[in-house]
Amino acid sequence: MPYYKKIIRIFTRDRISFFLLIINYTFIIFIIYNFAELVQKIRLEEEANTPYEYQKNIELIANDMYNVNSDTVDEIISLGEEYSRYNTRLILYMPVGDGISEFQVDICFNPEELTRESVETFLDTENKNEGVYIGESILPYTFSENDKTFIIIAQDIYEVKGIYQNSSAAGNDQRIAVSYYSLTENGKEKIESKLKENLGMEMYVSFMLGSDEDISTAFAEFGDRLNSLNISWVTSENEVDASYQNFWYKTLNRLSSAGMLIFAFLDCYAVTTMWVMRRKREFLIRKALGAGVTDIIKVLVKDIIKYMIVSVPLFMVMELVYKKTYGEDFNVGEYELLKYIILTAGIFVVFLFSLIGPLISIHKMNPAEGLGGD
Amino acid sequence: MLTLNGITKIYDKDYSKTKVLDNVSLKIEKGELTALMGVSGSGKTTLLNILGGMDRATEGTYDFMDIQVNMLTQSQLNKFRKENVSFVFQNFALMNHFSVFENVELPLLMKNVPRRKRKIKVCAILEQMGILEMKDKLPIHLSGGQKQRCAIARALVSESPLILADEPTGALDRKTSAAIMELFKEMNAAGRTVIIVTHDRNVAEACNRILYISDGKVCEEK
Repeated sequence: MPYYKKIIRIFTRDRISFFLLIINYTFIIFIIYNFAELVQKIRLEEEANTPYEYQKNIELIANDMYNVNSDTVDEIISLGEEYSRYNTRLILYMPVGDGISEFQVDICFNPEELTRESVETFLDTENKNEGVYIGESILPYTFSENDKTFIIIAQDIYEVKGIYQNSSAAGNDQRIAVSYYSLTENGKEKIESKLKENLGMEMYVSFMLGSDEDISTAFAEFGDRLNSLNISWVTSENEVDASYQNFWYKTLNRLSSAGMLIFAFLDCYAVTTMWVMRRKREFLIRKALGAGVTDIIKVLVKDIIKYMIVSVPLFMVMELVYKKTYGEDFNVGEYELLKYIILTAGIFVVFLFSLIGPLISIHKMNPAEGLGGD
Repeated sequence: MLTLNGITKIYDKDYSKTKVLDNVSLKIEKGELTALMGVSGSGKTTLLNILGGMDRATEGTYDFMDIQVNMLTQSQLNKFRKENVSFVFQNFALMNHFSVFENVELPLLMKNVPRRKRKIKVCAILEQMGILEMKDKLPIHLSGGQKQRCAIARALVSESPLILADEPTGALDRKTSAAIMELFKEMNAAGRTVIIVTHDRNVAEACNRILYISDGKVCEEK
Protein backbone atom coordinates (compact mmCIF):
# COMPACT_ATOMS: atom_id res chain seq x y z
CA MET A 1 0.00 0.00 0.00
CA PRO A 2 1.43 3.43 -0.92
CA TYR A 3 2.69 5.44 2.02
CA TYR A 4 0.33 8.37 1.41
CA LYS A 5 -2.65 6.00 1.48
CA LYS A 6 -1.49 4.65 4.82
CA ILE A 7 -1.29 8.18 6.22
CA ILE A 8 -4.76 9.02 4.88
CA ARG A 9 -6.11 5.85 6.45
CA ILE A 10 -4.52 6.65 9.82
CA PHE A 11 -6.30 10.03 9.78
CA THR A 12 -9.60 8.86 8.40
CA ARG A 13 -10.13 5.47 10.01
CA ASP A 14 -13.35 6.69 11.46
CA ARG A 15 -14.46 9.48 9.14
CA ILE A 16 -17.35 10.72 11.24
CA SER A 17 -15.18 11.01 14.34
CA PHE A 18 -12.38 12.50 12.28
CA PHE A 19 -14.41 15.38 10.89
CA LEU A 20 -16.34 15.96 14.09
CA LEU A 21 -13.18 16.00 16.17
CA ILE A 22 -11.25 18.19 13.75
CA ILE A 23 -14.03 20.79 13.70
CA ASN A 24 -14.46 20.71 17.46
CA TYR A 25 -10.76 20.73 18.27
CA THR A 26 -10.27 23.68 15.94
CA PHE A 27 -13.00 25.60 17.78
CA ILE A 28 -11.67 24.55 21.15
CA ILE A 29 -8.15 25.75 20.32
CA PHE A 30 -9.64 28.95 18.94
CA ILE A 31 -11.58 29.58 22.15
CA ILE A 32 -8.64 28.75 24.40
CA TYR A 33 -6.33 30.90 22.28
CA ASN A 34 -8.63 33.89 22.52
CA PHE A 35 -9.03 33.29 26.24
CA ALA A 36 -5.24 33.21 26.54
CA GLU A 37 -5.02 36.43 24.57
CA LEU A 38 -7.50 38.09 26.91
CA VAL A 39 -5.59 36.91 29.96
CA GLN A 40 -2.46 38.38 28.46
CA LYS A 41 -4.19 41.66 27.71
CA ILE A 42 -5.55 41.85 31.23
CA ARG A 43 -2.12 41.12 32.64
CA LEU A 44 -0.51 43.78 30.51
CA GLU A 45 -3.30 46.16 31.32
CA GLU A 46 -2.95 45.52 35.04
CA GLU A 47 0.78 45.88 34.78
CA ALA A 48 0.31 49.15 32.98
CA ASN A 49 -2.65 50.09 35.17
CA THR A 50 -4.46 51.54 32.19
CA PRO A 51 -7.94 51.20 30.81
CA TYR A 52 -8.33 48.10 28.71
CA GLU A 53 -10.17 49.52 25.74
CA TYR A 54 -7.45 52.00 24.95
CA GLN A 55 -4.76 49.48 25.46
CA LYS A 56 -6.51 47.48 22.80
CA ASN A 57 -6.32 50.43 20.48
CA ILE A 58 -2.73 50.88 21.48
CA GLU A 59 -3.57 54.14 23.15
CA LEU A 60 -3.66 55.29 26.68
CA ILE A 61 -5.60 58.15 28.03
CA ALA A 62 -3.98 59.79 30.94
CA ASN A 63 -6.68 62.12 32.06
CA ASP A 64 -4.98 62.99 35.23
CA MET A 65 -1.93 64.26 33.42
CA TYR A 66 -3.64 67.40 32.29
CA ASN A 67 -1.27 69.77 33.93
CA VAL A 68 1.84 69.26 31.90
CA ASN A 69 4.86 71.02 33.25
CA SER A 70 8.31 70.16 34.44
CA ASP A 71 6.98 68.86 37.76
CA THR A 72 4.84 66.17 36.16
CA VAL A 73 7.13 65.40 33.31
CA ASP A 74 9.11 62.70 35.08
CA GLU A 75 5.92 60.78 35.62
CA ILE A 76 4.95 61.16 31.98
CA ILE A 77 8.37 60.06 30.84
CA SER A 78 8.30 56.97 33.03
CA LEU A 79 4.81 56.13 31.81
CA GLY A 80 5.90 56.67 28.24
CA GLU A 81 8.97 54.51 28.65
CA GLU A 82 6.91 51.77 30.22
CA TYR A 83 4.35 51.80 27.43
CA SER A 84 6.81 52.37 24.65
CA ARG A 85 7.59 48.65 24.55
CA TYR A 86 4.01 48.02 23.53
CA ASN A 87 4.33 50.74 20.93
CA THR A 88 1.70 52.59 22.86
CA ARG A 89 0.70 56.18 22.44
CA LEU A 90 0.27 58.29 25.48
CA ILE A 91 -2.44 60.77 24.76
CA LEU A 92 -2.92 63.65 27.10
CA TYR A 93 -6.33 65.25 27.03
CA MET A 94 -5.92 68.79 28.11
CA PRO A 95 -9.07 70.84 28.36
CA VAL A 96 -8.45 74.45 27.61
CA GLY A 97 -10.08 77.80 27.99
CA ASP A 98 -13.51 77.79 29.50
CA GLY A 99 -14.08 74.15 28.62
CA ILE A 100 -15.72 74.77 25.28
CA SER A 101 -12.95 73.04 23.40
CA GLU A 102 -9.89 71.02 24.07
CA PHE A 103 -6.70 70.01 22.40
CA GLN A 104 -4.75 66.89 22.67
CA VAL A 105 -1.07 66.20 22.88
CA ASP A 106 -0.35 62.88 21.32
CA ILE A 107 3.06 61.68 22.37
CA CYS A 108 4.49 58.62 20.74
CA PHE A 109 7.30 57.11 22.66
CA ASN A 110 8.66 55.21 19.78
CA PRO A 111 11.93 53.48 20.52
CA GLU A 112 12.13 51.99 17.07
CA GLU A 113 14.25 53.34 14.29
CA LEU A 114 12.65 55.36 11.56
CA THR A 115 10.86 52.92 9.30
CA ARG A 116 8.72 53.39 6.26
CA GLU A 117 5.70 52.51 8.34
CA SER A 118 6.46 54.90 11.16
CA VAL A 119 7.21 57.65 8.70
CA GLU A 120 4.05 57.05 6.81
CA THR A 121 1.99 56.71 9.93
CA PHE A 122 3.34 59.46 12.05
CA LEU A 123 5.37 61.77 9.91
CA ASP A 124 3.19 62.65 7.01
CA THR A 125 4.82 61.11 4.01
CA GLU A 126 3.16 59.75 1.02
CA ASN A 127 5.09 57.15 -0.86
CA LYS A 128 5.12 57.43 -4.60
CA ASN A 129 6.75 55.09 -7.03
CA GLU A 130 9.08 57.74 -8.29
CA GLY A 131 9.92 59.08 -4.86
CA VAL A 132 8.32 60.29 -1.67
CA TYR A 133 6.43 63.30 -0.51
CA ILE A 134 7.21 64.15 3.05
CA GLY A 135 5.85 66.36 5.75
CA GLU A 136 7.94 69.32 6.75
CA SER A 137 8.47 67.78 10.14
CA ILE A 138 10.84 65.16 8.84
CA LEU A 139 12.92 67.49 6.80
CA PRO A 140 15.81 67.03 9.21
CA TYR A 141 16.07 63.40 8.14
CA THR A 142 16.79 64.39 4.57
CA PHE A 143 20.11 65.02 2.87
CA SER A 144 21.04 66.63 -0.42
CA GLU A 145 23.25 65.45 -3.22
CA ASN A 146 23.59 66.90 -6.73
CA ASP A 147 20.78 69.36 -6.12
CA LYS A 148 18.42 66.58 -5.15
CA THR A 149 16.98 65.77 -1.75
CA PHE A 150 16.88 62.24 -0.43
CA ILE A 151 15.63 60.47 2.65
CA ILE A 152 16.63 57.09 4.03
CA ILE A 153 13.68 55.05 5.22
CA ALA A 154 14.36 51.55 6.51
CA GLN A 155 17.74 51.49 4.72
CA ASP A 156 16.17 52.39 1.38
CA ILE A 157 17.01 55.71 -0.22
CA TYR A 158 14.10 57.68 -1.66
CA GLU A 159 14.20 60.90 -3.57
CA VAL A 160 12.10 63.59 -1.95
CA LYS A 161 9.71 64.86 -4.59
CA GLY A 162 7.82 67.33 -2.53
CA ILE A 163 7.11 68.67 0.93
CA TYR A 164 3.70 69.10 2.49
CA GLN A 165 3.32 72.18 4.60
CA ASN A 166 1.41 71.68 7.84
CA SER A 167 -0.35 68.61 6.59
CA SER A 168 -0.71 65.28 8.28
CA ALA A 169 -1.47 61.64 7.74
CA ALA A 170 -4.89 62.29 9.18
CA GLY A 171 -5.76 64.62 6.34
CA ASN A 172 -6.49 68.31 6.68
CA ASP A 173 -6.83 68.38 10.42
CA GLN A 174 -4.79 70.54 12.68
CA ARG A 175 -2.20 67.93 13.44
CA ILE A 176 1.43 68.79 13.19
CA ALA A 177 3.97 66.07 13.66
CA VAL A 178 7.35 66.97 14.97
CA SER A 179 10.20 64.63 15.53
CA TYR A 180 11.73 65.39 18.84
CA TYR A 181 14.94 63.75 17.68
CA SER A 182 15.63 66.90 15.83
CA LEU A 183 13.33 69.48 17.26
CA THR A 184 15.01 72.82 16.77
CA GLU A 185 14.28 76.06 18.53
CA ASN A 186 12.64 77.14 15.34
CA GLY A 187 10.44 74.06 15.36
CA LYS A 188 9.41 74.58 18.95
CA GLU A 189 8.44 78.14 18.25
CA LYS A 190 6.45 76.94 15.29
CA ILE A 191 4.48 74.55 17.45
CA GLU A 192 3.95 77.13 20.12
CA SER A 193 2.63 79.63 17.65
CA LYS A 194 0.48 76.93 16.14
CA LEU A 195 -1.03 76.19 19.51
CA LYS A 196 -1.69 79.84 20.19
CA GLU A 197 -3.21 80.32 16.75
CA ASN A 198 -5.59 77.44 17.23
CA LEU A 199 -6.49 78.04 20.83
CA GLY A 200 -10.19 77.42 21.17
CA MET A 201 -10.18 74.93 18.32
CA GLU A 202 -9.79 71.20 18.47
CA MET A 203 -6.30 70.16 17.44
CA TYR A 204 -3.59 67.60 17.90
CA VAL A 205 0.10 67.94 18.38
CA SER A 206 2.21 64.83 17.91
CA PHE A 207 5.76 64.41 19.08
CA MET A 208 8.07 61.59 18.19
CA LEU A 209 10.30 61.11 21.19
CA GLY A 210 13.39 59.08 20.50
CA SER A 211 14.73 57.03 23.36
CA ASP A 212 18.31 57.97 22.60
CA GLU A 213 17.53 61.59 23.23
CA ASP A 214 17.42 63.35 26.52
CA ILE A 215 13.68 63.06 26.57
CA SER A 216 13.27 64.38 30.03
CA THR A 217 14.99 67.65 29.30
CA ALA A 218 13.38 68.08 25.95
CA PHE A 219 9.96 67.30 27.18
CA ALA A 220 10.26 69.33 30.35
CA GLU A 221 11.27 72.27 28.29
CA PHE A 222 8.30 71.82 26.03
CA GLY A 223 5.98 71.16 28.94
CA ASP A 224 7.00 74.46 30.43
CA ARG A 225 6.37 76.11 27.14
CA LEU A 226 2.88 74.67 27.03
CA ASN A 227 2.34 75.82 30.53
CA SER A 228 3.53 79.27 29.65
CA LEU A 229 0.53 79.57 27.38
CA ASN A 230 -1.24 80.48 30.57
CA ILE A 231 -4.17 78.21 29.99
CA SER A 232 -6.48 77.60 32.89
CA TRP A 233 -6.75 73.83 33.16
CA VAL A 234 -9.99 72.17 34.05
CA THR A 235 -10.55 68.58 35.09
CA SER A 236 -11.80 66.31 32.37
CA GLU A 237 -14.77 64.09 33.14
CA ASN A 238 -13.50 61.45 30.74
CA GLU A 239 -11.56 59.84 33.51
CA VAL A 240 -14.70 58.82 35.39
CA ASP A 241 -16.41 57.58 32.25
CA ALA A 242 -13.38 55.61 31.19
CA SER A 243 -13.08 53.90 34.55
CA TYR A 244 -16.76 53.04 34.58
CA GLN A 245 -16.64 51.71 31.05
CA ASN A 246 -13.45 49.95 31.78
CA PHE A 247 -14.94 48.04 34.71
CA TRP A 248 -17.90 46.72 32.71
CA TYR A 249 -15.83 46.11 29.66
CA LYS A 250 -13.38 44.03 31.63
CA THR A 251 -16.06 42.22 33.58
CA LEU A 252 -18.05 41.37 30.48
CA ASN A 253 -14.95 40.22 28.69
CA ARG A 254 -13.88 38.06 31.56
CA LEU A 255 -17.33 36.57 32.01
CA SER A 256 -17.82 35.83 28.34
CA SER A 257 -14.34 34.33 28.10
CA ALA A 258 -14.91 32.18 31.14
CA GLY A 259 -18.27 31.14 29.65
CA MET A 260 -16.61 30.27 26.36
CA LEU A 261 -13.96 28.31 28.20
CA ILE A 262 -16.62 26.32 30.05
CA PHE A 263 -18.39 25.78 26.73
CA ALA A 264 -15.10 24.60 25.19
CA PHE A 265 -14.63 22.18 28.05
CA LEU A 266 -18.19 20.82 27.81
CA ASP A 267 -17.89 20.55 24.06
CA CYS A 268 -14.57 18.76 24.36
CA TYR A 269 -16.02 16.46 27.01
CA ALA A 270 -19.08 15.60 24.92
CA VAL A 271 -17.11 15.04 21.74
CA THR A 272 -14.43 12.98 23.47
CA THR A 273 -17.08 10.85 25.19
CA MET A 274 -18.87 10.29 21.89
CA TRP A 275 -15.58 9.48 20.19
CA VAL A 276 -14.56 7.00 22.90
CA MET A 277 -17.99 5.36 22.88
CA ARG A 278 -17.78 4.92 19.12
CA ARG A 279 -14.52 3.09 19.76
CA LYS A 280 -15.92 0.99 22.59
CA ARG A 281 -15.43 -2.26 20.69
CA GLU A 282 -11.84 -1.38 19.89
CA PHE A 283 -11.09 -0.68 23.54
CA LEU A 284 -12.82 -3.89 24.60
CA ILE A 285 -10.58 -5.81 22.20
CA ARG A 286 -7.52 -3.99 23.47
CA LYS A 287 -8.54 -4.75 27.04
CA ALA A 288 -9.14 -8.40 26.20
CA LEU A 289 -5.62 -8.52 24.80
CA GLY A 290 -4.28 -7.18 28.07
CA ALA A 291 -4.30 -3.40 27.68
CA GLY A 292 -4.53 -1.45 30.93
CA VAL A 293 -5.77 2.10 31.44
CA THR A 294 -2.26 3.45 30.76
CA ASP A 295 -2.20 1.71 27.39
CA ILE A 296 -5.62 3.14 26.55
CA ILE A 297 -4.51 6.64 27.61
CA LYS A 298 -1.48 6.28 25.32
CA VAL A 299 -3.74 5.36 22.40
CA LEU A 300 -6.12 8.27 23.11
CA VAL A 301 -3.37 10.85 23.58
CA LYS A 302 -1.64 9.66 20.41
CA ASP A 303 -4.90 10.05 18.50
CA ILE A 304 -5.64 13.45 20.02
CA ILE A 305 -2.17 14.63 18.94
CA LYS A 306 -2.90 13.25 15.48
CA TYR A 307 -6.12 15.26 15.27
CA MET A 308 -4.34 18.30 16.68
CA ILE A 309 -1.86 18.17 13.81
CA VAL A 310 -4.77 18.86 11.49
CA SER A 311 -6.66 21.18 13.85
CA VAL A 312 -3.82 23.60 14.60
CA PRO A 313 -3.31 24.80 11.00
CA LEU A 314 -7.09 25.04 10.64
CA PHE A 315 -7.25 27.10 13.80
CA MET A 316 -4.51 29.39 12.49
CA VAL A 317 -6.49 30.03 9.32
CA MET A 318 -9.62 30.64 11.39
CA GLU A 319 -7.81 33.00 13.76
CA LEU A 320 -6.28 34.85 10.82
CA VAL A 321 -9.69 35.36 9.25
CA TYR A 322 -11.11 36.43 12.61
CA LYS A 323 -8.31 38.93 13.19
CA LYS A 324 -8.56 40.27 9.67
CA THR A 325 -12.29 40.73 10.12
CA TYR A 326 -11.73 42.79 13.25
CA GLY A 327 -8.66 44.54 11.87
CA GLU A 328 -6.28 43.11 14.43
CA ASP A 329 -2.84 41.57 14.03
CA PHE A 330 -2.18 37.88 14.34
CA ASN A 331 1.46 37.80 15.24
CA VAL A 332 3.89 36.00 17.46
CA GLY A 333 6.03 38.28 19.55
CA GLU A 334 8.11 38.55 22.64
CA TYR A 335 5.19 39.45 24.82
CA GLU A 336 3.11 36.62 23.40
CA LEU A 337 4.94 34.02 25.50
CA LEU A 338 2.38 34.17 28.30
CA LYS A 339 -0.38 33.66 25.74
CA TYR A 340 1.25 30.49 24.44
CA ILE A 341 1.90 29.19 27.93
CA ILE A 342 -1.79 29.71 28.75
CA LEU A 343 -2.80 28.18 25.41
CA THR A 344 -0.72 25.05 25.99
CA ALA A 345 -1.80 24.72 29.62
CA GLY A 346 -5.43 25.41 28.64
CA ILE A 347 -5.46 22.74 25.96
CA PHE A 348 -3.75 20.31 28.30
CA VAL A 349 -6.21 20.95 31.16
CA VAL A 350 -9.33 20.89 28.94
CA PHE A 351 -8.31 17.66 27.22
CA LEU A 352 -7.13 16.04 30.42
CA PHE A 353 -10.41 16.73 32.21
CA SER A 354 -12.47 15.77 29.19
CA LEU A 355 -10.70 12.40 29.16
CA ILE A 356 -11.47 11.58 32.79
CA GLY A 357 -15.11 10.56 32.22
CA PRO A 358 -14.48 8.42 29.13
CA LEU A 359 -11.49 6.80 30.81
CA ILE A 360 -13.58 5.83 33.82
CA SER A 361 -16.16 4.24 31.52
CA ILE A 362 -13.41 2.41 29.62
CA HIS A 363 -12.00 1.22 32.92
CA LYS A 364 -15.45 -0.12 33.87
CA MET A 365 -15.91 -1.91 30.55
CA ASN A 366 -15.63 -5.64 30.92
CA PRO A 367 -14.33 -7.29 27.77
CA ALA A 368 -15.84 -10.56 28.95
CA GLU A 369 -19.30 -9.00 28.77
CA GLY A 370 -18.67 -6.94 25.67
CA LEU A 371 -17.05 -9.55 23.46
CA GLY A 372 -17.94 -12.94 24.85
CA GLY A 373 -20.81 -15.37 24.37
CA ASP A 374 -22.95 -16.98 27.08
CA MET B 1 -0.31 -26.17 33.32
CA LEU B 2 -3.51 -24.82 34.80
CA THR B 3 -5.50 -25.94 37.76
CA LEU B 4 -8.93 -24.81 38.86
CA ASN B 5 -9.99 -25.73 42.34
CA GLY B 6 -13.52 -25.21 43.57
CA ILE B 7 -14.25 -22.37 41.18
CA THR B 8 -17.66 -20.81 41.73
CA LYS B 9 -18.99 -17.83 39.85
CA ILE B 10 -22.09 -16.00 40.99
CA TYR B 11 -23.48 -13.03 39.07
CA ASP B 12 -25.18 -10.60 41.39
CA LYS B 13 -27.34 -8.27 39.33
CA ASP B 14 -30.52 -6.41 40.23
CA TYR B 15 -30.85 -8.13 43.60
CA SER B 16 -30.92 -11.58 42.01
CA LYS B 17 -28.03 -13.98 42.24
CA THR B 18 -27.21 -16.42 39.48
CA LYS B 19 -24.73 -19.20 40.05
CA VAL B 20 -23.08 -19.81 36.69
CA LEU B 21 -20.22 -22.01 37.81
CA ASP B 22 -20.57 -24.30 40.76
CA ASN B 23 -17.46 -25.64 42.43
CA VAL B 24 -15.59 -26.45 39.24
CA SER B 25 -12.30 -28.25 39.62
CA LEU B 26 -10.23 -28.93 36.58
CA LYS B 27 -6.69 -29.61 35.51
CA ILE B 28 -5.37 -29.02 31.99
CA GLU B 29 -1.87 -30.08 31.05
CA LYS B 30 0.50 -28.22 28.80
CA GLY B 31 0.00 -29.00 25.11
CA GLU B 32 -3.55 -30.28 25.43
CA LEU B 33 -6.20 -29.49 22.80
CA THR B 34 -9.38 -29.38 24.82
CA ALA B 35 -12.96 -28.85 23.74
CA LEU B 36 -15.46 -27.40 26.19
CA MET B 37 -19.01 -28.28 25.25
CA GLY B 38 -22.36 -27.42 26.74
CA VAL B 39 -25.73 -25.94 25.97
CA SER B 40 -26.30 -22.17 25.83
CA GLY B 41 -26.11 -20.58 29.27
CA SER B 42 -24.28 -23.54 30.76
CA GLY B 43 -21.31 -21.35 31.72
CA LYS B 44 -18.74 -22.34 29.09
CA THR B 45 -17.85 -18.78 28.20
CA THR B 46 -17.73 -17.75 31.86
CA LEU B 47 -15.29 -20.56 32.53
CA LEU B 48 -13.26 -19.53 29.49
CA ASN B 49 -13.21 -15.91 30.68
CA ILE B 50 -11.99 -16.98 34.11
CA LEU B 51 -9.30 -19.13 32.51
CA GLY B 52 -8.24 -16.15 30.40
CA GLY B 53 -8.21 -13.68 33.30
CA MET B 54 -11.00 -11.58 31.83
CA ASP B 55 -13.33 -12.42 34.67
CA ARG B 56 -12.84 -13.34 38.32
CA ALA B 57 -14.22 -16.28 40.16
CA THR B 58 -16.40 -15.59 43.20
CA GLU B 59 -14.81 -18.49 45.04
CA GLY B 60 -12.03 -20.99 44.46
CA THR B 61 -8.46 -20.89 43.29
CA TYR B 62 -6.94 -20.78 39.85
CA ASP B 63 -3.28 -21.58 39.30
CA PHE B 64 -1.65 -20.99 35.95
CA MET B 65 1.82 -22.49 35.96
CA ASP B 66 3.28 -20.82 39.05
CA ILE B 67 0.87 -17.84 39.03
CA GLN B 68 -2.06 -17.78 41.45
CA VAL B 69 -4.40 -15.96 39.10
CA ASN B 70 -7.27 -15.45 41.56
CA MET B 71 -4.96 -13.37 43.76
CA LEU B 72 -3.90 -10.96 41.02
CA THR B 73 -4.89 -7.30 41.01
CA GLN B 74 -6.57 -5.81 37.94
CA SER B 75 -3.33 -4.47 36.48
CA GLN B 76 -1.60 -7.79 37.18
CA LEU B 77 -4.48 -9.56 35.43
CA ASN B 78 -3.99 -7.30 32.41
CA LYS B 79 -0.32 -8.22 32.38
CA PHE B 80 -1.20 -11.89 32.81
CA ARG B 81 -3.49 -11.74 29.77
CA LYS B 82 -0.93 -9.83 27.74
CA GLU B 83 1.80 -12.38 28.40
CA ASN B 84 0.05 -15.70 28.73
CA VAL B 85 -3.30 -15.77 26.97
CA SER B 86 -4.57 -15.31 23.44
CA PHE B 87 -8.26 -15.15 22.61
CA VAL B 88 -10.14 -16.12 19.48
CA PHE B 89 -13.76 -14.99 19.51
CA GLN B 90 -16.79 -16.24 17.65
CA ASN B 91 -17.44 -12.77 16.27
CA PHE B 92 -13.71 -12.49 15.44
CA ALA B 93 -13.33 -9.30 17.54
CA LEU B 94 -11.39 -7.49 14.86
CA MET B 95 -11.08 -3.73 14.84
CA ASN B 96 -12.96 -2.68 11.75
CA HIS B 97 -11.11 0.58 11.18
CA PHE B 98 -7.73 -1.13 11.25
CA SER B 99 -6.20 -3.19 8.46
CA VAL B 100 -5.57 -6.91 8.78
CA PHE B 101 -1.90 -6.16 9.39
CA GLU B 102 -2.70 -3.62 12.12
CA ASN B 103 -5.13 -6.03 13.80
CA VAL B 104 -2.56 -8.80 13.92
CA GLU B 105 0.17 -6.36 14.98
CA LEU B 106 -1.78 -5.21 18.04
CA PRO B 107 -0.51 -7.73 20.64
CA LEU B 108 3.07 -6.99 19.57
CA LEU B 109 2.47 -3.25 19.83
CA MET B 110 1.23 -3.76 23.36
CA LYS B 111 4.37 -5.69 24.17
CA ASN B 112 6.49 -2.85 22.73
CA VAL B 113 8.11 -5.08 20.10
CA PRO B 114 10.25 -2.96 17.72
CA ARG B 115 8.63 -1.98 14.43
CA ARG B 116 10.96 -4.01 12.21
CA LYS B 117 10.51 -7.16 14.24
CA ARG B 118 6.75 -6.62 14.27
CA LYS B 119 6.62 -6.39 10.52
CA ILE B 120 8.65 -9.58 9.99
CA LYS B 121 6.60 -11.52 12.54
CA VAL B 122 3.19 -10.35 11.35
CA CYS B 123 3.99 -11.05 7.70
CA ALA B 124 5.25 -14.53 8.57
CA ILE B 125 2.07 -15.36 10.51
CA LEU B 126 -0.19 -13.93 7.80
CA GLU B 127 1.62 -16.02 5.24
CA GLN B 128 1.16 -19.08 7.43
CA MET B 129 -2.54 -18.28 7.64
CA GLY B 130 -2.71 -17.75 3.89
CA ILE B 131 -3.95 -14.16 4.07
CA LEU B 132 -0.74 -12.21 3.45
CA GLU B 133 -2.15 -10.63 0.31
CA MET B 134 -5.03 -9.29 2.42
CA LYS B 135 -2.77 -7.48 4.87
CA ASP B 136 -3.75 -3.96 3.80
CA LYS B 137 -7.45 -4.70 3.59
CA LEU B 138 -9.98 -3.77 6.23
CA PRO B 139 -11.79 -6.65 7.97
CA ILE B 140 -15.07 -5.65 6.34
CA HIS B 141 -13.59 -6.70 3.01
CA LEU B 142 -12.80 -10.21 4.24
CA SER B 143 -14.91 -13.36 4.20
CA GLY B 144 -15.85 -15.07 7.49
CA GLY B 145 -13.07 -17.62 7.12
CA GLN B 146 -10.50 -14.95 6.35
CA LYS B 147 -11.64 -12.92 9.36
CA GLN B 148 -11.21 -15.93 11.62
CA ARG B 149 -7.78 -16.62 10.12
CA CYS B 150 -6.92 -13.03 10.92
CA ALA B 151 -8.15 -13.48 14.51
CA ILE B 152 -6.15 -16.68 14.82
CA ALA B 153 -3.09 -14.92 13.39
CA ARG B 154 -3.50 -12.29 16.11
CA ALA B 155 -3.68 -15.04 18.72
CA LEU B 156 -0.61 -16.75 17.32
CA VAL B 157 1.59 -13.74 16.87
CA SER B 158 1.93 -13.04 20.58
CA GLU B 159 3.29 -16.56 21.24
CA SER B 160 1.21 -16.96 24.38
CA PRO B 161 1.26 -20.45 25.87
CA LEU B 162 -2.54 -20.59 26.24
CA ILE B 163 -5.02 -20.05 23.43
CA LEU B 164 -8.69 -19.73 24.31
CA ALA B 165 -11.21 -19.89 21.50
CA ASP B 166 -14.86 -19.11 22.05
CA GLU B 167 -16.96 -20.72 19.31
CA PRO B 168 -14.26 -20.07 16.69
CA THR B 169 -16.22 -21.86 14.00
CA GLY B 170 -19.68 -20.72 15.09
CA ALA B 171 -20.06 -18.24 12.24
CA LEU B 172 -18.39 -20.36 9.57
CA ASP B 173 -19.51 -22.98 7.08
CA ARG B 174 -18.50 -26.62 7.48
CA LYS B 175 -15.60 -26.49 5.02
CA THR B 176 -14.12 -23.35 6.49
CA SER B 177 -14.65 -24.73 10.00
CA ALA B 178 -12.61 -27.78 9.12
CA ALA B 179 -9.81 -25.60 7.75
CA ILE B 180 -9.85 -23.46 10.90
CA MET B 181 -9.72 -26.56 13.09
CA GLU B 182 -6.65 -27.68 11.15
CA LEU B 183 -5.03 -24.40 12.14
CA PHE B 184 -5.84 -25.02 15.81
CA LYS B 185 -4.35 -28.47 15.53
CA GLU B 186 -1.19 -26.97 14.03
CA MET B 187 -1.00 -24.51 16.90
CA ASN B 188 -1.41 -27.34 19.35
CA ALA B 189 1.24 -29.38 17.57
CA ALA B 190 3.56 -26.41 17.99
CA GLY B 191 3.21 -26.83 21.76
CA ARG B 192 0.40 -24.41 22.58
CA THR B 193 -2.33 -25.33 24.99
CA VAL B 194 -5.66 -24.74 23.25
CA ILE B 195 -9.10 -24.67 24.83
CA ILE B 196 -12.03 -24.39 22.45
CA VAL B 197 -15.58 -23.65 23.51
CA THR B 198 -17.94 -25.14 20.97
CA HIS B 199 -21.41 -26.45 20.26
CA ASP B 200 -20.19 -28.36 17.25
CA ARG B 201 -19.57 -32.05 17.87
CA ASN B 202 -17.30 -32.28 14.81
CA VAL B 203 -15.11 -29.56 16.22
CA ALA B 204 -15.05 -31.20 19.66
CA GLU B 205 -14.15 -34.55 18.18
CA ALA B 206 -11.17 -33.01 16.45
CA CYS B 207 -9.79 -32.24 19.92
CA ASN B 208 -7.95 -34.73 22.08
CA ARG B 209 -10.03 -34.03 25.18
CA ILE B 210 -13.67 -33.06 25.59
CA LEU B 211 -15.16 -31.48 28.71
CA TYR B 212 -18.91 -31.11 29.16
CA ILE B 213 -20.34 -28.37 31.21
CA SER B 214 -23.88 -28.41 32.46
CA ASP B 215 -25.60 -26.23 35.09
CA GLY B 216 -22.29 -24.77 36.08
CA LYS B 217 -20.59 -28.09 36.68
CA VAL B 218 -18.01 -29.85 34.58
CA CYS B 219 -19.86 -33.10 34.61
CA GLU B 220 -18.42 -35.39 32.01
CA GLU B 221 -14.98 -35.94 30.71
CA LYS B 222 -13.86 -38.20 27.92
